[in-house]
Formats: sequence, C-alpha cells, structure tokens
Amino acid sequence: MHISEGILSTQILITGWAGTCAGVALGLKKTSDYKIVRTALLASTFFLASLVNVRIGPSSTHLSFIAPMGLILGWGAFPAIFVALLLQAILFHFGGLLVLGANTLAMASPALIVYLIFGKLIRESDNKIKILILSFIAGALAVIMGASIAGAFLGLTDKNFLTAVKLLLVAHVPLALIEGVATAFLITWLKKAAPEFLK
Amino acid sequence: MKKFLLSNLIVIITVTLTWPDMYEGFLTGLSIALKCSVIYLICAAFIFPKGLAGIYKALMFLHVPEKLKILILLTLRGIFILKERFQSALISLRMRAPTQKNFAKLKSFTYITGSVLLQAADRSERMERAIKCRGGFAGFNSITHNKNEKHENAFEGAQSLLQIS
Repeated sequence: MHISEGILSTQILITGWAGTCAGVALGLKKTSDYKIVRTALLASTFFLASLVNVRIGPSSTHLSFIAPMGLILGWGAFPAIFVALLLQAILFHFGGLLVLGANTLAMASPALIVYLIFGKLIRESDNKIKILILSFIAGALAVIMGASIAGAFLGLTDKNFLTAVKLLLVAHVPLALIEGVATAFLITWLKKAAPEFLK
Repeated sequence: MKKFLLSNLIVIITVTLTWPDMYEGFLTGLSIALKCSVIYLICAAFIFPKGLAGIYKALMFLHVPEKLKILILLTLRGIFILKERFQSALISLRMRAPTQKNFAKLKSFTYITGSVLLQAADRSERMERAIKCRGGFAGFNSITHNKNEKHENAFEGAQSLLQIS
C-alpha cells in the first residue's frame, strides 16, 4: 500500500503532511507520558509481525495489521504507524521520506476510523461469534479504506491514474479478506487470553 | 538496489499499460522513476548514512516534540528486543508443524503475534516502572553528539555530492 516517491503532486504531499501532523499531534496528546513505552513496544511487535511472509494458496503475503493496531492502541495508532513507516523508509527504503505524510494518512486514518466504529462494540461484547464477525469486518474494511485513500491521492494527482487506481483496489480485495481473517483470529484470541488488553 | 530498480520497472510498466495514451504513459512512468531515483539518491547520500542518531539530531534541530522522539527511539529498541522472541516462536512453530498451510498457518501466526504482544505489554509495564524509579524521562534522550566544525560540514557535503555523481 506504500505510495512510491515522485508520483504524488506537491499539493497532495502537503495535504498528506498536514493531515499526518494533525493526527500525530492529537495521538501524542491523548497518549500519557508513560503510555508511550507501551505504544512503542506494541508498535515494534506489529512492525515485526508485518515483516513476516505467510503463505496463502499459491502465493505469499505479509499482513499490515492496521485494524488490530487501531483497536489496541486507539489514538496512539497514528504516531505508532508514523514511526513504523519512518523506520521502514529509513531501514528498508519502502515508501519514502517525502511521501511519508501521505502514506501515514492512508494507513493511520483507517486504523483510527476502525477504532472509533468497532472499538466500543468489540470491548463490550461477550459473544464470541459477534466479536469474530466484527473483527473480520474491521480488518477487511481497514485495508479497503487504506487502498481507497491511496487511490484518492493518486486520482487527485492526475485523472489518468484512474485505471491504475481501479487495478489497485481490485488487487487489495483478496488482501482485505486475508487481513480480515487474521484480525478476527487475533482479536478473538486476545479477548479470550487477556480481555483487559483491549480496554 | 535490485529491489529499487525492480520497483521502478513495475511503476513504468503499470503506468504505461494503464495510461490512456501508451507513449505518454511511458514518458510519465519514466519521469516518475527518474524523480524517485533522484529523491532516493539524495536520501541515500545525505540522510541514510547519518543513521538514527543523525536523524534524532535533525529532529532535535526541528524542535519535534519530546514524546515523538522518545517513541521513535523506543520503537527501534523494541524491534531489536522483540526480534529474537518472534524468531524463536516462528522457528518452534515450523518445527512443531512443518506441513501446516494456509488458514491453519495464518491462525498459528496470529496467535504467536498475540502472545508476543502480551509479552511486549508486560515488558513495557516493567520499563514504565523503571523509568518512574529513575525520575521520569528527564535525561532519557541524552544522546550526545560531537558538534561538527564548519570545515567538517563542508567535507561531509562534498563527500555526499561525490557519492551522487
């Protein structure tokens, strides 16, 4: 889902950075001083988990864990995703530094939206099937939203990118389903093993 | 470098095939690849060799909030701390169930992620207590740097320009 350097227009890059700065500032404000340690370690775990390739059918994929980050970290997901993408840009040269704002906005906004829509419902529910379904929808929706925001950035840069945007969205449908299943497994397990973790 | 060239090639092919006019698409794809290469080369010459300590210094210069700087440093440290735990869990999974495939493997992988998450949360609580005992975050970010002289900065700049050329 990373947008490469050199594609987006200056206006979109500035918009991306403005949105990211606002999101990171709000996220940091809502995270207490000592909770930064927890946010950092959980962000590291998600970072490591997203580097592992899992074989599904004939190909392999790596999970992004956008929805679990949102559901567990809440507002803290914004700075956590920003830092994870910054480290990916520096250590592995995925994405880039100029486009970091747009990439963060494309990945962190779905995490936040998923948290605001499904967070309370999942926390308060005791029904395993309901949690499984809600987590699946949250995981799949986060990927689709992320791809849509990245697509919107490309479409707003140049209308001729629209065919490529359609291709991007179609390619993300199977990924969304896999991510949905992974989120459902993870959240159901956490709810059973450590219910206080999601509160 | 191979990955970087491959990703540029994919960008050129995708843009060429999806643009309404193929020739115009090829030129657009080529210009994107060139812009990407220039930005990458500038970053490779000026930013990446500085490492995280250099970037931390730049963040200090830009007056980035203290919380964000601490978050960056702790996340990086957390990656190295938790890497071994994650790797050993994955190796043990491979040894326990070498033929496991598809959703069964995905399920096991998410459970491993969940258990590492809980371990990370426990560790973070211990770290929080240790930081509180030491009097908070004051002095936490005491990475000291040797201040460069003017001629050293000029030498660094010239070296980076040489790398690009």
